[in-house]
Amino acid sequence: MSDFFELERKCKQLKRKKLIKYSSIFLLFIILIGVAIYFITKPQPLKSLHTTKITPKPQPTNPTKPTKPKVIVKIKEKNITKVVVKKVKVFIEKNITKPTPPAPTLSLDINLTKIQKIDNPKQKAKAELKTKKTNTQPIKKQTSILQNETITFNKALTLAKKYYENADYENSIKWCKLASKIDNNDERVWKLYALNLEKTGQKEKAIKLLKTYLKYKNSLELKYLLQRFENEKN
Amino acid sequence: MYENLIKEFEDSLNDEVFETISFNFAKKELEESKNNLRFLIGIPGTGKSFLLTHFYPDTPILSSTLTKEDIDKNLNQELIIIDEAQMLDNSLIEYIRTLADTKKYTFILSMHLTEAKKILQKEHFKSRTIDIIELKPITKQEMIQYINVKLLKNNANHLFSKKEFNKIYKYTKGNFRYIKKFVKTLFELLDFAVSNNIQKHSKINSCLITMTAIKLGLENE
Repeated sequence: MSDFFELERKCKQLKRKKLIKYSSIFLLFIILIGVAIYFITKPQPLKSLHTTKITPKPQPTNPTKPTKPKVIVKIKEKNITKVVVKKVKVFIEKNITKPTPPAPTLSLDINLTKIQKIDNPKQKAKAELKTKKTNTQPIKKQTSILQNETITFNKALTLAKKYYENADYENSIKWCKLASKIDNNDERVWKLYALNLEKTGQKEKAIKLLKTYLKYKNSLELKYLLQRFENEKN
Repeated sequence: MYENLIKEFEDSLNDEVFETISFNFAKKELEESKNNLRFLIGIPGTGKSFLLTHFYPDTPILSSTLTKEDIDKNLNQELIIIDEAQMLDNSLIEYIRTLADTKKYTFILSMHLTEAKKILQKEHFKSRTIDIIELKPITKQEMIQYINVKLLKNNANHLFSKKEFNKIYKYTKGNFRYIKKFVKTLFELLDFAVSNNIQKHSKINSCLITMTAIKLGLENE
């Protein structure tokens, strides 16, 4: 039995080998399970999300990567165009069936502005610039409005102000008109409307507008504005 | 300490008969067969030689190294037994077949399973009715019974657990010769461990069984 210890050593070696073999099989099994779980619980790709009806939520912008917001804006606009086309179709159908047009809803107005934005390359660039400036806030609002499909006077006024601040006077006028349709007594809308007209070179029209308002309502601020316009004209 | 057990498991043809199902079945078939040419086949170590020795104690068993002359010398008796017949050359097998055809002599050829199949495939055997008696390996229960009987004889029962029996059967695959050899070697190792005061191996354990398997070449290192 001189080989007893040699046999013992071989036995230990064999046991070690078996342990390595079984543990590697076990590890492989665990990895396979992990991979399977990953593929099962994998989130849907971005592409499929865009094909769904849901309008995308504004994604948070990363300040360290300046190129990212630009991409996001483009995606939004693409989605908005899809929604807009649908809305316009609905609007046309409604107009054909009903002789008297209903009070315009905000969603349609937004769609129109968006269509203009996308069709006109200059305005598209402008919009992009604007989104950079305001950190995509208007888009956030617009998309949320699209989701809700309802608008309050305050929302319309805020949007009109934002457009005015961003020197987009045409859109600001549209929002002013809409706000005035909701509430035409508020002097802030009339003031903003008049200022927009002035900026777009329609001072005459602005004076007329202020005069019309002052016929029915009394507003010191608008009176001063009218005076300024008239003085500048002369 | 375990010398008696080591002796008990020594491989010998003079061993006591341990009757397994397959052994009894083969014995019965050999008894009842009326064919002049009988083949006792089975894998090595299943107890073919043992069966022939115990069933025909008065008949000489010829080895595979025999010649035509050796056969002729034994023609004075009706029954001729040849062990390890797979080693015989074709001419000798053909001679045995012609002698068996005379119906004067009865031949029992003991051979390994795989070789027997090849021989039986030959044309002159295909056309004849031959009694083929197969001795199968013993079952696990039979192995446990066999070891326990031997241990009981030496007042050494309960040395093995069920797990250890399973391991032994896994290595020996029911081969009777291997079982005896395995248990004998295992007791030799145990005896060494006890006499050298190796506490770790003072009882039969899985490591000792693996060591035995390595020693007998039944486990790949």
